[in-house]
Amino acid sequence: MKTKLALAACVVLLVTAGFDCINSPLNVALNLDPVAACSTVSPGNGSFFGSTNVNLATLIPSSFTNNLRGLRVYDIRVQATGQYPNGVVSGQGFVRFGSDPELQVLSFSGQYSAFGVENGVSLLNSGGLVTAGPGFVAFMSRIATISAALASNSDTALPSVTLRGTGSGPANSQTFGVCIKIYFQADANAN
Amino acid sequence: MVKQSQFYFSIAAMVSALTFGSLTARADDSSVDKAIKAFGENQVRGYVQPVADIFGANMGAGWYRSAEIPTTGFNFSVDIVGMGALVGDEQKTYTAAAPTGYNPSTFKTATIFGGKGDSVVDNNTKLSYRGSDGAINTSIVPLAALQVNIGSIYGTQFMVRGLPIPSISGSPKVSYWGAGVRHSISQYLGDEPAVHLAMSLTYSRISVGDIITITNFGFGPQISKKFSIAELYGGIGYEKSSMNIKYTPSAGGTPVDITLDGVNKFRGTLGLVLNLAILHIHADANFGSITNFSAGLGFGF
Repeated sequence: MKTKLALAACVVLLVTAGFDCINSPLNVALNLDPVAACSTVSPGNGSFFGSTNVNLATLIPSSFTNNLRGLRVYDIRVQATGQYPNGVVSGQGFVRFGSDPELQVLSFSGQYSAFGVENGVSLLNSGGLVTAGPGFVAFMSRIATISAALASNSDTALPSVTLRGTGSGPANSQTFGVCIKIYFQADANAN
Repeated sequence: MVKQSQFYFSIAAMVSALTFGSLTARADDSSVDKAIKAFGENQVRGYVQPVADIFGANMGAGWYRSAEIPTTGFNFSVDIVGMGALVGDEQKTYTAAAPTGYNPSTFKTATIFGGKGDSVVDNNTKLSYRGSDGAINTSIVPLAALQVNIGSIYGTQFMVRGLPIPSISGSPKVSYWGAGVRHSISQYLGDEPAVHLAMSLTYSRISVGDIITITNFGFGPQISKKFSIAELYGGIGYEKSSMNIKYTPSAGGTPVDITLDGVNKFRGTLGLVLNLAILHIHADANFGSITNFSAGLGFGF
């Protein structure tokens, strides 16, 4: 009976008003390109320093511009690139939103080769190689604030993100480096 | 103008055209298109799997309304067939994989026919990941076809079905066609068998530009028996349907090119047709992994 009623309702809708059963709002989750700070380890003293500044708005596909409803971070990864010498690499990752104070969101330390795996080592299951820094909670709180602002006003401007990585690795004449990547996910209205 | 043009179309044609309109035909700008293109290849499978399941099931329905096929002589009929597949709870959610390292590693979220997307929160870091909302809110997905049946050569009948779907400016071309052949088995059982038996082989295809292609192949026996103007019919069948989907994700990255198999592998059909001279009114139910129905009007002899 329910089926017949549904079918009848659809036919009536078709004849009278057209068929439009699209959910509204329809919020889709967009996995954005990661914000990455990569640097080459200095062969001389083994130190490295890398920084990047990205306006998050530039990561949003044009079809969703000004239609955002939320923002979150779903992964943070550290990866060694190039040749992997023996020895320990260690460092910290810092994030600044706009002109906010810089926050240390992570620390990492371990054998260089351990970070040389495909896609790097995630904070999610690092086995102790990557740990949340003292500013991690504040970082997550800031993301939540941005997300709440987007939920109430989709015209909210996304901030720029400055990601900085610093640390040290084994001094070696080979070319190798370290990348810190933050993966953002945005909710966007597709209606 | 839209309402006027809808009026002049048959209801069946409208059901299909507008269903495809909602699903895909307005693809360049549609909400559904945006929702699909938000996914990368690894995430989109579960989200769109019900489309393959439901359209595959619909495409395999409504091919016959009797197992009686004359052995020889010219016979011809035109049927308008409407099909509708129920969208059950199992088509509204799926188990999605969370990004590597999440605890828990999977979470339930909405398919294209679902409601709000759900999130998974990693127990250790409190990082979170969300699934997209469902795009289409419906309990039944309709499809329709115009079918021509022509025979008979040694108890063999040929079937062609399709639907003229109007082009919509700026949207991919949508086409739907199918073909099949049926052969009478009861012709080998004597002049007046207690029941009629036949076998059929069918193939149909829906394409939406070069974005989506859905095919359905079906094979199986049918049985029917007349009681005055009424005729009970039924059958079982094996079927295989698949959907290929190609697009470039809206966030960029590797173009998606995947093929999904429909869940329906076997179906049982039970139906009734009223034969009123050259008018045939029929309805049947199809039971399998997806439950669907078909009904229609046939004109011919």
